[in-house]
Amino acid sequence: MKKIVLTFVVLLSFVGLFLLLQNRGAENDGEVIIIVHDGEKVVLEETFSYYQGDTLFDLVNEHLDLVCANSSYKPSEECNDLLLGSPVILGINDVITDWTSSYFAIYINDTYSNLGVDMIELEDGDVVRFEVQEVGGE
Amino acid sequence: METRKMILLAFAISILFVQEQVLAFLPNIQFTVVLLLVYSSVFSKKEMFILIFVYVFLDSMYYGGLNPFYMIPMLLAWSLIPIVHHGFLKHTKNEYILAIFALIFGFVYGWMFIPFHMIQTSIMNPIPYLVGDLLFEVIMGTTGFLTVLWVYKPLINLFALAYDTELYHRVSRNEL
Repeated sequence: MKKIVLTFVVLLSFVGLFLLLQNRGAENDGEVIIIVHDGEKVVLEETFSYYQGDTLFDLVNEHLDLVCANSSYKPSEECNDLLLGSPVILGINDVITDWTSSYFAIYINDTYSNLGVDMIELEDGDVVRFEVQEVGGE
Repeated sequence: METRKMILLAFAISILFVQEQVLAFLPNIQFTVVLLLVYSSVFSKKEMFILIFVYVFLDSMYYGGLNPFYMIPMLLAWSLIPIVHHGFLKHTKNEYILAIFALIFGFVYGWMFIPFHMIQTSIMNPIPYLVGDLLFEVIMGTTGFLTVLWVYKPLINLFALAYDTELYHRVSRNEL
């Protein structure tokens, strides 16, 4: 009986934490500027409209060609088919990273984001820059 | 080391490695923690270090060409199980205490990688790593807790049978 109660408590806590960690998306509609930088130059700069409940990932996934990482961090076109966890973007349009030697750093209004692409809350007028960075580089 | 023990160690490593590959499609859901606790209850600390080294070596070779940024934290993190079990936990077989340890270990395992990722990426802010890994740590802690709570005792009994021939024959003869 004690085991069943403990199992129930832990599973309930897990579900609670899981829901708490989920990003509920933007609070209102708005527009953001998306910039893609390949490490040397800007290759895309465009304004996109988002709607209430959208995350940054929803927005870029809808408007740009993404390559995501699968569970082994290998490139996959299946960006929507994720089981738990956050998506990891390896490629945007023709700009590709490989995760081991390069990755996409995300800057929100020129500030390095501590959150992943699906955790960032969109705010009207934000400038979001995806910039390729060499791992181990500055 | 006795041949029998070496064979048992080899079997233990095979089970550890295979279950991880079988469950690889589920993020951080695995029986590694409960299995290492079962092994730690049966093997000595020295034997556990050998087992963990071979397991981590195989795993790192299979996944990423022995990348030291993954291999070293894995070695350190998994080694914590026999160190804590043989030390602080005084070799306890109480599944409740071990389940709590497994819950905490899920988080410690994730944190162990942070300094190595910081060196590898040169991004010295630990917050992105902590935030990014939190969900996986919660999954690993929960899985560890539940598997230890429910599976540790049956597994330890099963393993004791395989480990102790005399015990096995007594059970076969219905003497126990």
